[in-house]
Amino acid sequence: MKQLIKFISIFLAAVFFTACTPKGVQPIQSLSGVDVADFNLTNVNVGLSPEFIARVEKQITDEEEYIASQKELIENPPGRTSLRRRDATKVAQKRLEESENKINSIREEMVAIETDVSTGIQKVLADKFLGSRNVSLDVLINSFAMTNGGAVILVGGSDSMTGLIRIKDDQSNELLGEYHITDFDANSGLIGMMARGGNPRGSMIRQFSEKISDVLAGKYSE
Amino acid sequence: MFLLVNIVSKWYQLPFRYIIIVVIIPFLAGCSYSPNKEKIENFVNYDSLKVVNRHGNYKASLTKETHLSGTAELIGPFCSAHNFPYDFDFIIDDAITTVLDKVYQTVELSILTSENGTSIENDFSIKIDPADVRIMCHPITEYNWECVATTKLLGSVLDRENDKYDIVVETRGVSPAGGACGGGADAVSASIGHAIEDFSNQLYDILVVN
Repeated sequence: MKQLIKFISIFLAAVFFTACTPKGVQPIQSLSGVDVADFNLTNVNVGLSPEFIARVEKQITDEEEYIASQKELIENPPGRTSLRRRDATKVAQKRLEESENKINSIREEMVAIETDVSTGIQKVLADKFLGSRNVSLDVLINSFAMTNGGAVILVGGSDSMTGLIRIKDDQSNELLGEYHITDFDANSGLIGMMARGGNPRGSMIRQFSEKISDVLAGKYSE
Repeated sequence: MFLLVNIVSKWYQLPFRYIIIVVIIPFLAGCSYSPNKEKIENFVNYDSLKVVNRHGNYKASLTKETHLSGTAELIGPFCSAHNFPYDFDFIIDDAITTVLDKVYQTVELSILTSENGTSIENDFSIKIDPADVRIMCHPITEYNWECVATTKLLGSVLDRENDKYDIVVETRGVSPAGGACGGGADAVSASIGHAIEDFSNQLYDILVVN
């Protein structure tokens, strides 16, 4: 009976996981009918979507509000004795510094995502698409989520990245193609940790960039 | 077969536990989600539209190629087991009627289909193209998803002198996806609600000036 339950759960898991496996590339406006062999990629613009920016700004605002509350505690520490007030001040000071560090890391990450993705794409696309029709590539990142390495071992987790790409003719500014790209890796335990590799962030950006390269090469033009 | 299952389940115990807990259950919950047509929230602030009450008996027509209803096009793989249907046909009729009532003292509005829409003599004709409603959901942290819906609505106003004024609307709505992606419906509702608001405001501005 136990074996049967295991078999059924593995079978169901396999079926549903397969059914719900994220597709990598979804055309919104396909490049069909466009001669991709003629592409000369002149410009790659990478940006964050308005929702992404709004989400990050909200995180920063929440942290700033928290910092304000801790400053208030530092100025008016609770407690009847001076020892308690000093302890409360120390705790508040520590939390304040943690929040300030968090804000700095959020801001740095925001800039780093754009820079790293841009570098990753240019690396993958280097020496490719050197035709005669000048085109530009706009990449709008909608989400970028990495799981903490410890969490992968203990409970599992997923790294994912989604974005929209638009390919435009430089001369006419005509939109030639628009695609939604997803990179999603779910890993768990030690095996998952090994499969994830030493640089999951770099791997995810590389895979995302390779999908862009495939789109430009006409792989999803049907 | 059971031996094979035993070996596989031992080797992949942790990953499958993860798959079942983190991936399968939300997807299963999601796969069983079958919403009714989403209730669209109308964001038009009619009080902010000044009453003009232009004198005279006016005739207007509103032409729609199709009913403004359907299912939002899902972009991307997340929440792909879900449908996000919408219907704002009556809401936009209501919004347009209210805008006309603000501008004109007496106005007779005919709501037409695209087949007979141009045959009636009107002081102005309003046309609305089919709506383009899209939704995409994605993880913002490993266990926290978000849905973003976009509504594009194109329309025009043709006056008695055959002058045409275009109305172009593109709005977005954001909502946490929730456990079963049901929050996506809120994003669709918000984006359509804002589209109706934007359309109504643009229409009001066109009618007031002309």
